[in-house]
Amino acid sequence: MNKGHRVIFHIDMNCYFASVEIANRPDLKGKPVAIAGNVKERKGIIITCSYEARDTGVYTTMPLWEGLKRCPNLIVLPPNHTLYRETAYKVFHLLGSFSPILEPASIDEVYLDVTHVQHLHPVQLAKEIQNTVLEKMGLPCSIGIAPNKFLAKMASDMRKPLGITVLRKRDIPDVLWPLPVESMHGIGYRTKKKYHALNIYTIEDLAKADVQQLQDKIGKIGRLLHERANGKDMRPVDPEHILSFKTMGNSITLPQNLCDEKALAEVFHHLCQKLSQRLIIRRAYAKTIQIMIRYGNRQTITRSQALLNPVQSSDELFKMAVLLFQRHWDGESVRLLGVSAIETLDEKEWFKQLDLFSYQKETPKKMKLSDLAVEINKKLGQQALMLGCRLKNEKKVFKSEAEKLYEYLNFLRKQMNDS
Amino acid sequence: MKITIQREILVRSVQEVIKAISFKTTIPILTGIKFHVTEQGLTLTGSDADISIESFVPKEADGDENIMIEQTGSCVFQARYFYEIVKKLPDTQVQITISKQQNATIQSGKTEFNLKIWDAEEYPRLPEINESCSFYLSVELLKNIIRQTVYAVSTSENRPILTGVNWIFDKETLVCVGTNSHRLAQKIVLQSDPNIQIEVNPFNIVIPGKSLNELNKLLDGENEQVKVVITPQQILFQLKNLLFFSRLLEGNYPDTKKLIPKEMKTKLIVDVKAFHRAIDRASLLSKDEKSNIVKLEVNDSCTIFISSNAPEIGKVEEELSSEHFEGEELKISFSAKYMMDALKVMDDEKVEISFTGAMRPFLIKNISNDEILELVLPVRTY
Amino acid sequence: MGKYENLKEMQPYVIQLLTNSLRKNRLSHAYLFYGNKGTGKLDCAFLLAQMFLCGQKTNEGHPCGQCINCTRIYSGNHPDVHVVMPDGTSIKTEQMQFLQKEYAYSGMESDKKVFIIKDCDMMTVQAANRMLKTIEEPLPGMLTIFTTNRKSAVLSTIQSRTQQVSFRENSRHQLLNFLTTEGISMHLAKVIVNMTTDLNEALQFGQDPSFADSYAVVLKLYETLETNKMMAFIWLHTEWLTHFGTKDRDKNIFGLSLFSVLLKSILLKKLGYADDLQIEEIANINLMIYRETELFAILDEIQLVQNKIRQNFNIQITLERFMLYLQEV
Repeated sequence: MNKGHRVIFHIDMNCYFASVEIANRPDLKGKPVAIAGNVKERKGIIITCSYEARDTGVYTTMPLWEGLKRCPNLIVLPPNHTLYRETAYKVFHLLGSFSPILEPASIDEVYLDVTHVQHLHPVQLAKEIQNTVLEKMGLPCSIGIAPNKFLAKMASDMRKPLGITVLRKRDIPDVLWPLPVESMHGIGYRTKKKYHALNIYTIEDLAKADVQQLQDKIGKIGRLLHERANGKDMRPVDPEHILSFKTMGNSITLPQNLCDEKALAEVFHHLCQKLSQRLIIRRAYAKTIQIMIRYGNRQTITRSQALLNPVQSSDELFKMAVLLFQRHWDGESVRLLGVSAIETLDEKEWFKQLDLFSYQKETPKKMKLSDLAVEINKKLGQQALMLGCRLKNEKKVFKSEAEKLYEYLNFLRKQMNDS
Repeated sequence: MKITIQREILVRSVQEVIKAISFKTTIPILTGIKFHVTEQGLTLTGSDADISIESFVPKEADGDENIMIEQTGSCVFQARYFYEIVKKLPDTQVQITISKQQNATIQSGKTEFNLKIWDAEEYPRLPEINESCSFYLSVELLKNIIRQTVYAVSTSENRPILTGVNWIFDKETLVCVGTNSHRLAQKIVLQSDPNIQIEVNPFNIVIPGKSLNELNKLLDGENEQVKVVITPQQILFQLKNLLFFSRLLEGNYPDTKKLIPKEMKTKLIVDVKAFHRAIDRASLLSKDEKSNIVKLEVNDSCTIFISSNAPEIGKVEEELSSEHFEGEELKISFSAKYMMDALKVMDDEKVEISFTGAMRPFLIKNISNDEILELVLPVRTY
Repeated sequence: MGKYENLKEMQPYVIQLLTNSLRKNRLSHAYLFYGNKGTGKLDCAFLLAQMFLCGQKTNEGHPCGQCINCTRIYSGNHPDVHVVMPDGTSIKTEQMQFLQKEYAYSGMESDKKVFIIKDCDMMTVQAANRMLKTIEEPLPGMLTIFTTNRKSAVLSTIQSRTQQVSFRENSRHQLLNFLTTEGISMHLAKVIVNMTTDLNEALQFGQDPSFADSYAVVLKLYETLETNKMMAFIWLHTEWLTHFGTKDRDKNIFGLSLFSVLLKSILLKKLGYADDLQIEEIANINLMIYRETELFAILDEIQLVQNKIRQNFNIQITLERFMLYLQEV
């Protein structure tokens, strides 16, 4: 039926946090509801709000006090991330029953490859999914239907809430191309300027731009987005995708702007511990470390350093992060700090360049222990022995606790970058 | 000071010394070129504190008069302007006169420049040539020493001493060692070598690798022999009409002798070119220089397996035969770059590589002699 | 040699300590000079560098000040004397890298090298740690001098590895002497020593050609307040703002500082604390315009006004308010 064409759904939960709250508290239905960040610590910014609130002019990232000015009867709730996360898993499960080829892209959006679902027309299937999620979970969602992930995502954005939009390749010139270039996923507020500098203002401009120039001026991502603007996107819907991130990291917005070096080092210490835990869980090593500094004036810099030897321990990560920080920090007060491993290696690819002055001290100890573990595992079966810190991960239900944490952090980071 | 000099000679001389000048220096006077006129001729000096170059223009050479000296003296010109000016002067002759304190005129044809100058007293004193510790090297040998050792030094300032090459003379041999702690290069010159004339007391100095690279650029066919003078603060290389000074690195250079393995468990003899090409091919798959790790396996059949694996790109495997094999089987990983760097400086067509285990340094030597020893630390893998 | 004599007069103990150590060959390899701004720390660091390198020291250990080592230390051309000072808000990593390299290299002319790190409290922790390595294992012939006016902000590891030398606050009498020997009139010198004890700042004030005029304007303000307080507002526009301008924040802040010196002197006089450094005008002006408590209040108000100007408040409006305040006190 599909002659090699794929049918990809992008399912986007509509104002997810607010919807979850309303689904759990029927008394809120039809009322303007907003979820706002910790009011005490950061002047309260609206993370999301219901459509009733949006009608009064309240929008995401608006300061809370302004929201209350525009909509005095706004019901403000603190975020309940545990609830959102757990609800998300239920939604993923539910969607998984329609097609097993499911890739959660974030806490509130999912790609679904339904190419092989043949008993229903895609639009009908989308309607069924939408109704099921609304009935069983009380949550509204928009669905984009397209031959690839990129178009599906663009489509789901077009009608909200509870929209179903089909975007075929032949619709691209009429529907997609007139949109401003920054409405493409992957072009943010900051990168927009780079495209404008090349006289690219609409998606059409991008689709027709010179590939070589894009490659030279913007890099690989420029070439990639050029392909997408032409409706080409070969990325598969990959259920494992969320587990195979090349980049991982986290950031913290500080309770108040800081310029005390020691206090900032403490923050890095904490961030590196978290990053190290995640690396250990993923059996990965960091090859390139990147730090992010956002100053009080919102100016943000990222600086990275490739390492001679890949690292995993929090101490080594910390050492590099602080080195980078000290090299690039201009002494102004800092609002946010982040540390990521932007290039990672699987532990099987781990290596260490030995040093002339210390090779004799190179402990065969750890080596022997791990060799021993390998031997024992050979005899007793796959995973009889493993490092203690990994144990948690192995009790997979849907995802481990650590994965939940990771996903949640990732989500927060995304929110932060968007705002 | 008052002289008249051939413009061409002046330009050439300025070009030589300006190589040493850095305009980023924190010492203002070092942005200048020092002029020093004696009855014998003109000496120009340029320096960035780390290295200094002195160029001497004799009053006469081969019966031709280079400079007409009316009055001796010295001063310091701002290098940037001076160089631009003399390059573009109209006449073949240039007259330079210190008119009054802090002012000089440069006259050529009908053009006259009036330039501010600095007091030569402010300029750093370069060490006097101390004859007691000097020896001679042929240019060819000096170039070889530089080529075969400097490549191995460290470029990171973490251990400053390792950014230099250690020269140790013990009455019988001159041993030159460079290492960045991941690889090491050692060149040994016997006192009996005809390319060296050395009869001095033992010394142990560390010459910055950067300085040696700069020196290498100045070595050409015009010079056959270089006189080397070691003073407490600086080392001096005397070329024809040109002196090259470099400060030394202070502190103790690690004793690398005891870090070089003596026994060996596996020995290979390979053809340098073929082996180099094989490693080069195996490193094609790696994304960056730092992690181009190549794996080498040998078993008793004289066959060497070279492989590399980049999970996202692919795999490469290659077999080549060893001319000679003795000892234990071996699997070892190392940086392709370090291996290729070492192979590049070997003199012989065939080299001997000896291993003492997967976690210990291995050695590369010429077959015909023990002059060069290259050592590479392997990479430990999962 | 003037500089040396001055330092000797202003920091006699420091100079004594250093000359003694040098004479007995007990010079430490690293010093931490600390004390308030303008107490001569940097000058003294240069002096110590001269003492260390001068080949023609006097019997007392004074540097000759004339040999090529001495002169080049002051002109900044000595190849073995390195001075690092904060570039902006901190001492940058590149500066530290340069220092580290210089530590590793042999001296250019001799085996003696001097490193002066001004405001070492501005080093980042990492930069300071890099320094530690080098001062922990000093090679002979190396002298490192750190200076700071915030000793508490200096890394404790640096404090513990250096010999600490305290620079006492300059005495106003010495400062007065110094200023008058520099050719500044006694009349103005007295005003200056009531404003600052920072030697460099004092000199800067004294050498500023507009200083006398600024002071005259400030005196006129007081006269205006004496004759008719209600005129102050108009006077602000006709005199003050034409002299200090409406844009230059530093100048206006400076003018206000001068005014507070005048008021403080009046207050001290009224309270019976006048000493021989009193500004000379005190003798001839009317002390009765404001009561003591009012003077205290005005002095506080001046600080507030200065802060506002610093914080980018409109200068003219801020000063207009201040004039109204002066009228109503």
